[in-house]
Parts: sequence; structure tokens; C-alpha cells
Amino acid sequence: MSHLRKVPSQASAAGRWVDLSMASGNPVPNYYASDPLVGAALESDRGVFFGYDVAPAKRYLKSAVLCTPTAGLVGAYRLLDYLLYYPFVDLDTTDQQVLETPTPLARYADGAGVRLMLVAQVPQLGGGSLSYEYENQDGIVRTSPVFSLNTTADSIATVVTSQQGAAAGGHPFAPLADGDTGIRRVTAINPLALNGGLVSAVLVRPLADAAIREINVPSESVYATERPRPPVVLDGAYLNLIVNCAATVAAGQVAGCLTFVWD
Amino acid sequence: MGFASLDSLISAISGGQSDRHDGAKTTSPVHTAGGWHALFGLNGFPNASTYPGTDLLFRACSADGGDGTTFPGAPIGGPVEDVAGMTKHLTAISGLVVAAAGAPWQLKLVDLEGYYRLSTTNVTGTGSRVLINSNTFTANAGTDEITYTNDFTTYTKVQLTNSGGALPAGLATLTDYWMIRTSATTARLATSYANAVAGTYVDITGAGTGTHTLTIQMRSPNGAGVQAAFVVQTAPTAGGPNLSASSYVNHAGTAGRAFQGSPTMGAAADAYATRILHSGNASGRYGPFLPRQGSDSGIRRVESFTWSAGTAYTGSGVVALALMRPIPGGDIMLPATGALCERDLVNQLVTMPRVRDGACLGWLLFGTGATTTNTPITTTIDYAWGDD
Repeated sequence: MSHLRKVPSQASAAGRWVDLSMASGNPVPNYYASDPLVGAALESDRGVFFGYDVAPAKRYLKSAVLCTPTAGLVGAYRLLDYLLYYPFVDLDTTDQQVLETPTPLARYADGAGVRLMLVAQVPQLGGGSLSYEYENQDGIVRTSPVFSLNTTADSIATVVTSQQGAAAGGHPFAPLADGDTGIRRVTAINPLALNGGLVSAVLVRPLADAAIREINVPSESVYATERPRPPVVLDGAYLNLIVNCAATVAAGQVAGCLTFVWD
Repeated sequence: MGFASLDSLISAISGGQSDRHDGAKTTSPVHTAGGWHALFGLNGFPNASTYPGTDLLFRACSADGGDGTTFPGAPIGGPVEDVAGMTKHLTAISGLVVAAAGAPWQLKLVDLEGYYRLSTTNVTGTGSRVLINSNTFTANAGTDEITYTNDFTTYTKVQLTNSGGALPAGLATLTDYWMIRTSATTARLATSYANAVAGTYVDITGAGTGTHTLTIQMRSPNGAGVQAAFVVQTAPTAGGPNLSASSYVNHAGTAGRAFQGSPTMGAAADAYATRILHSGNASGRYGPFLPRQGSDSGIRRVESFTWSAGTAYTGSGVVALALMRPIPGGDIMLPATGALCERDLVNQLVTMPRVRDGACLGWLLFGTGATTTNTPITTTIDYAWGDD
């Protein structure tokens, strides 16, 4: 069993997805701080703790309990395995940003089910658009469709594709090219319209969903019996949450505990 | 085939035979109250379909071939049936809508079998529109290709018939084939969807005699469960005709069946992109699907329809007459904005619906109120495959 308590300090707008890995609290905040544009992995023990390696056994998420006293943190939550991030992608330019991947994905190596999430590392002006180039689940280099970023300003930790009410917006993950199911690595970001700010391009594998529907009411999801598929948590995973917030999450808090089993 | 017990499902899941798809769509324009909408044409992921193709010709859609231009269906892995004798089943679905207005909503998961594209005078006209479901063809034993007139999409499922002679050697009647498109008017034939995706085709050893004909088939055998709906891609300028006549072939193979109730197509305010034209609150509206005749439980193909009475459409709209199969258990009720709603198809609602190889999965959305434009819709589809 692992406990978490996140206390975001950065404001956000209603309906946007916010990366709680960047929030203070437990587990410790992550700032996506490493060499610009070079793929790096987050250390497992700095995410939601789930025990030690169990291979050849398998570990599953048994249940999750979440509770918040903050109206802004009411909403949908998604548990992600953060696989790799490319920090400091500059959206103040329309120059192509070439990304390096020194080491391939340590988990989900074929990339199936892996998605790209763009998280603000500094405040954003908004209004940009971009596409990106990547190696898909079959190892083929593809270019994503062009998509719009949030049209109004974002604070740190907001997912910059997630503005509700913006054309083609409101999405936690960037779209893939036709027919693709995932990403092995990103090779370049192609900003087409200036957005302002720096983002981290994060490769994640969505694992599970949960929801808080009211403040001060614990929400319990039992994946072992109430869901058909208790999510597998691989050794070495870095786990954290994103939230589709009902209002600003600044100065709010969310607490919970996740229970894991292995066999 | 499938899962004989919870143990076999758990074993398959533990063994890695499961995955999930994360999808997202953004509405545009504003949805009017009480309408159904097909989200295949919306921006987001999977990518939007513009319902391309030749007017009046059936255009099959599949996971691996898309609509021939884009891939509007949720990618949920490649074929498993003929590769490993398995079947694929949905285990859970979820939906989330964040909108300033419009709640509550209903999401309905469907398999888009294909559509007939309609544009220009096929939207504005009031005469009978005869739809194209078959072509005569010739065969080339040297290239193993067949040649026909219309541009069918790759992986279109067909059956073959012959009059006045015999089919080309290597091909048989009453047998399903899947087309591997090699040009706008040529294709090779595969004996399964998986073979078609793999590029493995039938060896044709003769040209045959007489007249050969190919006829499209639904992914769902005999069209069981298949429904029809008119979906707007580009809004007509004005008007709102009635479906005054129609003819389709039902699941039993009976031709000349007619959609019931003379459904009224939406007038201008209810005839915008993604709207199912005959849905809504007004009298004469039926949604999301056209009422089938009698006890018909499916549609093999639509032969013709007539839009007359009411007011003819004007302008240059584009409409798709879509054939789709609702997925059993694939409905999610969304009571409020921001409320994530999940449907467990194993424990909560025991259906574990089978998804056939090549299924082009997507969502329909119903809004009780007018739904704000640029509303994000986030969905997930969990699935597993097994052979127990």
C-alpha cells in the first residue's frame, strides 16, 4: 500500500488536464529537469511507490482511494506510467526541435499504447500549433497530424493540448498518425505557430482511471473486482497522476492510497 | 474461441493479451438539443473522416484500411481470428465530456461497417437514388487480379456470383473474400481479413466463363445487427426532406425492405456536420438509426432511397448513409460535465462483446441539451483476446 498527497501550487483553468507529478507533496515533485531535448527517464522511486522488483512475478494495481477537500481537484484522474521525457522543447520558435533518445523505452519497448503528453514547464502564452515526428509501434517513422495547443495562457504543469472550449482541444494526449497505436520514440517537434514557453514532451502509458465526484468524499476504485482488467504495473515504472480539474488546482490538495498485489 | 471462464480471461490478461485505447474528440459546431451525432467526422484521435469516395458507392471501413483516406476507427490491434484462432472482446469502456452546457449525454459505441457518400444532386435531388453494391468483374490468372468498374476500398468484404458460366478457377460462390486493392479498378482477393492485411491472396488459375459479379458484404455475418443512419459531413444550405421511399436487403437476404415512418431529415439548424439527420426532438425524427421494417434484425446492404416531400435540400452538402453495428453493452450514460463514467463489461454488465477483426470502432453522442462547441470527449476502450 502506498500513500500520496499532492499539493499543487500552480493555477490551472477549469476543464484542463494537469500533471500532478509536478506538484509538491508526496511523492516528491518532478520538474522534468535534465538536458534539453534529450530523452530521459524518471526514477521509479520518485513516483508513487509500489514496492520493489517482483519479476518474474507480476504486480497489479488492486485499488485506489482518492479524496480532496478542494473543489478544483474534483474530476477525472488518470494513472500513468511515465516512460521517457524530452525537456525544454521551445515553443517560442517555429524551428524544428530535434530530439535525441539515447536509450530506448525501458518498458513497453514496442511502444504499443504509449502516448505523447505535452506539459508546460514554464507559463505559456498559448495559441500555437505543431506536429511531431516519431517512431511508431512497428518501428516506422511517422508524422502526426497538425494539432492546436491551448489558445489562452497556461501555468506550469498544465497539459497544453487540454483546453476545454478550444478548437480540437481538451485532450490529454497528442494525436497519432492514422492507424497507429503507440510511440517508441519522438524524433522531432515541428512548431508551426508560436505558442510561447517551454514544454516537456512526455511519453506515457495510461494505466487506470479514477474519479473524485465530490469534495471530502473518498472515492474508491477496486480494480481487482470492479474492473475487468487490474492494470499491470511493471518493475521500474514511474507512476503518477494527471487530473481533469474542475477549477484551479492552486493551493488545493488531494490525498489517497494505492494498493498493489503481485503473484 | 473467446473466454470460457473468468479464469481464462484473467489468464489471458495476465499473459499480456489485453490492451486499451485512449481516444479524444472535440465537438464542432454547437450540437442542438436532442440530437445524435457520429463522432467519426470530428477532429481528435482517431483522426477525422470526411467520408471520401465515389457518390452512391458502398465504401467499406476497417481498422487497418480506414475509409481509404484516413483511419477513423479506434486502433485496437491487428487481426487475431485467423492468425491464432482467437477472438477479441471488449472488457470495459469509459467516457468523459467536459462542456459548459448540454448534459446529460449518452455515448454509444458502434462498428462503422461503411457508408454511401452523397453529395451535390444526391443531396439536393428528390428522385430515387440507386446505390452501388456490386460490380461485374473479369479475372486475370497471370496477376491473380480481378478488374471491375468502381473504386472499392481495400479490405472490402465481398461474395461472388456467376451467370452463364463458371467463376474463375480458384474462386467460389457463397464464400467470403476480402479485397486487397491494387488500383482504383483492380484488386486481389484474400480468404480472410487477416490474410488480406498480410497480403496473402488467392491464386486464380483461370478466367472463368460467363458474367462474374462481386457483391459487398457486411463484417457482421449477413449484416446481423447492422443499422443505418444519414450522417452530415458538410451542411446543406437549407431544407429538410422526408425519406419517402427506401429499399434494403435484410439479414435474411430479403430484398425490397423499407425503412419505416417516413423520417424527416433535419432542417438547416439540425443539419450540421456530424449530425444524424433524422434524429432530434421534432416530430418525424428517429434516432440514432432509421427504423427497420418488421422484425428485421439487420441490414446486408441498402439498395435505394428517395428524399422527397418536405423541403428539398439546397446548397452543396455532403451526407453519408452510414451502416453501423451498435456494440452490445456499448452505451455509457454521462450525467454531468466532468463526470468520468465507466462501464465494466465483465462484472457490471456481463456482455464482453466480440469485436470482429477489422472493426472500425467509434462513438455516437446524444445530448439532451444544446452542447457547447469545442467540447472535449475523452474515451477509453479496454479489450482482451483469447482462444479458450
